[in-house]
Amino acid sequence: MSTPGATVTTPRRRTRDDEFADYMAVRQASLLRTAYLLCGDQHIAEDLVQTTLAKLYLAWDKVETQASLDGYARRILVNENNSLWRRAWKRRESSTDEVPDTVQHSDTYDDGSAGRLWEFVQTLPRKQRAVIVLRYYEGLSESEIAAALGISTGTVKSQASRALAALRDRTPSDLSGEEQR
Amino acid sequence: MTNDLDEALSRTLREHAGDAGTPQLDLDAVRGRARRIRRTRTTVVGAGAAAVVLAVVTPLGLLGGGSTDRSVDPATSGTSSTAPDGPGVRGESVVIDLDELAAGDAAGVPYELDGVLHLPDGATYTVPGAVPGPPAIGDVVPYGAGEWLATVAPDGAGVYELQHLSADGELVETVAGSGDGLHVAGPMAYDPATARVAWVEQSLTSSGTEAVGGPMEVVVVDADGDEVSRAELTSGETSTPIAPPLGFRDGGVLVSIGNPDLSRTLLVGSDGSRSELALDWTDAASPDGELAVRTTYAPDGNCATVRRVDDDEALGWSTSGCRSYGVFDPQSRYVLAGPSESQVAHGGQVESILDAATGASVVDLAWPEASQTQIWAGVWESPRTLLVSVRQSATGEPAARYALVRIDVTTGQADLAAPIEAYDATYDNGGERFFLR
Repeated sequence: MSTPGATVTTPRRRTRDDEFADYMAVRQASLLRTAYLLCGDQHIAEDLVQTTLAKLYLAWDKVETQASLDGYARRILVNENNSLWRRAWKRRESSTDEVPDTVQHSDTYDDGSAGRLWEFVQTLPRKQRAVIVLRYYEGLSESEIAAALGISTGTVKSQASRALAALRDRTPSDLSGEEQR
Repeated sequence: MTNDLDEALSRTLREHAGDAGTPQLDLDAVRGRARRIRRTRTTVVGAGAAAVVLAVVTPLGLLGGGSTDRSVDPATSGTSSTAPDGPGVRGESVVIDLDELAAGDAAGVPYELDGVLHLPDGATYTVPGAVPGPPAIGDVVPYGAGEWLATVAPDGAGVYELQHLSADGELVETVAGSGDGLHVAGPMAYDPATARVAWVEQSLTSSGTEAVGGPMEVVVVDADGDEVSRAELTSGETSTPIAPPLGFRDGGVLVSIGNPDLSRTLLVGSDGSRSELALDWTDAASPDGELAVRTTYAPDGNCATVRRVDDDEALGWSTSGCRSYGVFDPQSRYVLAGPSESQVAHGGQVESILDAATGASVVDLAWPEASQTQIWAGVWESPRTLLVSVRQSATGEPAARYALVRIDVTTGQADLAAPIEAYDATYDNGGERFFLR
């Protein structure tokens, strides 16, 4: 029986590392996939996830419930990716029309359009690409994306609109909705 | 159809997500990275010794009671006549474009650039032994008649000593330091109403190769350097906590103690009494003593919350989405917001200036789309102008330029408070180069 005013030690504090390890085991694969889609490089993605989990570990006691962990981890991940340019030795990404070298993806059912679309996604500016990944891979709403990126929903809409317009310009007409001649 | 592109994007991303590989991280690896991050934060914000576990820099804007405009001689300071009546522009975006900003007045608060402290009247102090990259100065506050107290860590190791500097930037004496078996916390508190200064010092004992903290005391001196009070904060801590003074309140000093096992916020009276205001760490407190920022993460997406500093700590406001808050202006009308993980109260990156009473956006910071820009939370130069430290480069270019930028909250205008610094690999630590103090 607890005494009013007494400090209550939560179960999570008692098993902090165990709980964090459990969370890590369940979520790191998902984080890695999102990280890869954001940066397009396996090694950088692994580094992003490690940093994300490390920062989450440091903030573990500040996160009140399990339900808010994913959103917080996603926010760290996206911001870490956005900060990559600061670290010159890790920097590889920039907004460019050049199609970067990528992992060769093999899919026997792919007629080639998916591969080209992925290449074009990788040429999007970082914020536009983050919006696209969070919307079309994570399935987040505009408000959730805004929270993850720390921007307004209006900016989410405009970034998504620009990204889709750029992709429409580059992808086959049967995907972009252009009239077939 | 657009839906075709939507579906193609979803399918493509799902397919290529599989190229990410198999995660191989274990807890030890993550904890190792966490330790490095913590050390880096400690070094960058310069708070405490090697065993320190949390790092905080308290902006002078948090200091208690009235104006904290440090460009003004404390002996003659008063309420600014140019202060706006209330939050000015609403929801404006201020574009920080280093190619477009005009030169304005020189910075009215101290700042460090490449190991040299620049004081508002133009005097400089070169920190002996400063290493390129991390800041050597923790904090600078007015002291006496136009002089200064500074917390200085010459070797960049984050172990500070307290130095008394003349108005000309000459070292007068080391007030507390390793020569006395002491180190001081990086942040200090200054009360413009009384010209008193508070700092936290800790005795050091040696354990192997690391300095281990002993009892911590909060010390208050007046403008003549006479000690007004000295009160013990903690003793017997197994690791060195961080205890930045947040400001003066009710004749005492508000101190937030960070420790992995026990965080709390105390009011330390001049008679040595200690009142526990919260069983938690406080990131920042407004100068009027009404509001405090506590960081929690709730399932509804709210992260940091701004609470009333009263008995029941009623919620002042919070905003949707995760953000961090801190750095109130001298009149407690504005507060800065930044990314949640960036700890804007501790010198992290800043995105917006909010109405401190409601959380509504007053100014949002923006930059040219073709640039890569980072803006770090700075110091309120006056009740209406904020100084921030900016790093900006063209998209894809590693060579950045650095600037001190002034933002006028009432007009939404920005200008340069110091000449732009060109890229120099020697001093490029991937972060800021102007460190506002």
